[in-house]
Amino acid sequence: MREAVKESVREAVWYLRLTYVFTGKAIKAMLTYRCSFVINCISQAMDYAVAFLLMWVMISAFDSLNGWNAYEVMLLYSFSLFAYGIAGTFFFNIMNHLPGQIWKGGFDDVLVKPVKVLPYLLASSFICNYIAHITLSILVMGLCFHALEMPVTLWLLARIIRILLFGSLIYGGLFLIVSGSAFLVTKTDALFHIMFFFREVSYYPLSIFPKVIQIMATVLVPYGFINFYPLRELLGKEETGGLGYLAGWSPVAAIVFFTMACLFFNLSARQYKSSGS
Amino acid sequence: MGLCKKILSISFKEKSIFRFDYLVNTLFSFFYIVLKVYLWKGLYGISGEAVSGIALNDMLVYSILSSFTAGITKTTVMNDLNESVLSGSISSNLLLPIGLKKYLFLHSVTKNIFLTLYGIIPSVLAAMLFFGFHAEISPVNLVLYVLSVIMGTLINFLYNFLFGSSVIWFRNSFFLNNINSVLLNLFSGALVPLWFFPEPMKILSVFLPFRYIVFEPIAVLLNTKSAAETAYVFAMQLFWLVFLFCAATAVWNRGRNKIMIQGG
Repeated sequence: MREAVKESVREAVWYLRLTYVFTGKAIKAMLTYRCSFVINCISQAMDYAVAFLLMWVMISAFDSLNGWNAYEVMLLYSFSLFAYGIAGTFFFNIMNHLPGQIWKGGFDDVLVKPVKVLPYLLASSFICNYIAHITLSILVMGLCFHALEMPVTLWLLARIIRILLFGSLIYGGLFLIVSGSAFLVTKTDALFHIMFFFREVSYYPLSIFPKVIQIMATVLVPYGFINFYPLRELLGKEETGGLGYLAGWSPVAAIVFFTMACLFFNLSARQYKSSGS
Repeated sequence: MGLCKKILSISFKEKSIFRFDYLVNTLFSFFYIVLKVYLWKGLYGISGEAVSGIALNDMLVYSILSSFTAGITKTTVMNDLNESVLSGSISSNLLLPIGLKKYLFLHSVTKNIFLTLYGIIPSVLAAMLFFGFHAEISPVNLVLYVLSVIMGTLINFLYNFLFGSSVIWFRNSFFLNNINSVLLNLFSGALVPLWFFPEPMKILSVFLPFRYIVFEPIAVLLNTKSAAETAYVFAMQLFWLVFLFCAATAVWNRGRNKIMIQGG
């Protein structure tokens, strides 16, 4: 038993070292095309900044959206965006490259390496591009907490970090499900659309949508746990909409969902049949 | 004319290869309209009182129409131009017995016709059936809307072509594409109509061509404008059209001789 624990710790350390090496390489690669990287980041940040601005314009014209004022809704958006950014940093490249690797048979390369598939893919898929999402979300969060006159105490900070951590896990799980399904079907576009559609849903209070979307965003793809349920508690909002009081369930939902996504990915990966040469 | 027809039919065929993709897009463009509608319903709340003189029903009609108008006026010419210069495929386009600007325009128009037929019309119709569509639209306004949308499409195309031509000097203009989409999203009224904008942003929008692409045509259709205001919209559209046409032609004529073809 103790041997087994020791062995898994040793393995985990080994994959962490692998992540460190690959991350170093990813940063070096990014520094090679510094200018292009910076322009890319700025334009992405501008895209989201305009979305934030329009959200502010729209909600300010009406005072509130179902009891949430402009800054509160912007907080929902920024929490979702931050969690997406963190998850994307580690998982986006898996989702982006895997379908191509599967069609062309390039996935064989991964299989012949003396590594476990998922930890290896995770270790090697780091990208820096999400720095724009993350920085912008932090700025918007700061602005919103300031406007809402909520002093950022250590206690609040700890709660924010907890929400973001579990939110990132849920996004990570979604990335894994979309990537894993590439082993089963040739085109993952529809799933991709579903993921991004619900991401858009998560930018607004879940309570404005019809019950069926609320249930889907809680049970099927647990977007509600990324920001809506925990933030409703954090901001002390009325408990309307969604499936009741679920803030306390966020960690459980995130861990269960992520574990299931990993299992799904590993099971799907077994279906891989090499094609091409 | 025969040549134009041929180009239209070829690029139509090119698009129909990816029919399934368009069907998936249709489904999701419907979902996005649903999302927008619930968002506006949430904003108006239970009372549904008019805000800035706009009632909930008008707003729902506006959001359905804006999906349609934004789709039909859309163009990817800046991106197309960028890619064709970077890959070198522009060399074969230049050999065509038709001006590049005209060729790209026809290409863009067919893409939109296809997108409208497969993606936009079904999803917009579904949304109309689902949410009801109560708007009094007179035939005169409909004709004015069509004219205004045609001008809007041309304005958007010329604007994108003008800035897309910068690829000849910069070697890569992908960042301009991004900046453009930001401005279009912000000022065209495709996402949030200009009625709700704070004063400074409204004033700024007057000096930019974007509001004449989506917002103004719909405002004309919904009969929110007096005859004089409608005439002003058309005059401004005409101004931007002529201005952008001259600018795009001038820039292109200078740039044409400078193009460096790489790859092939």
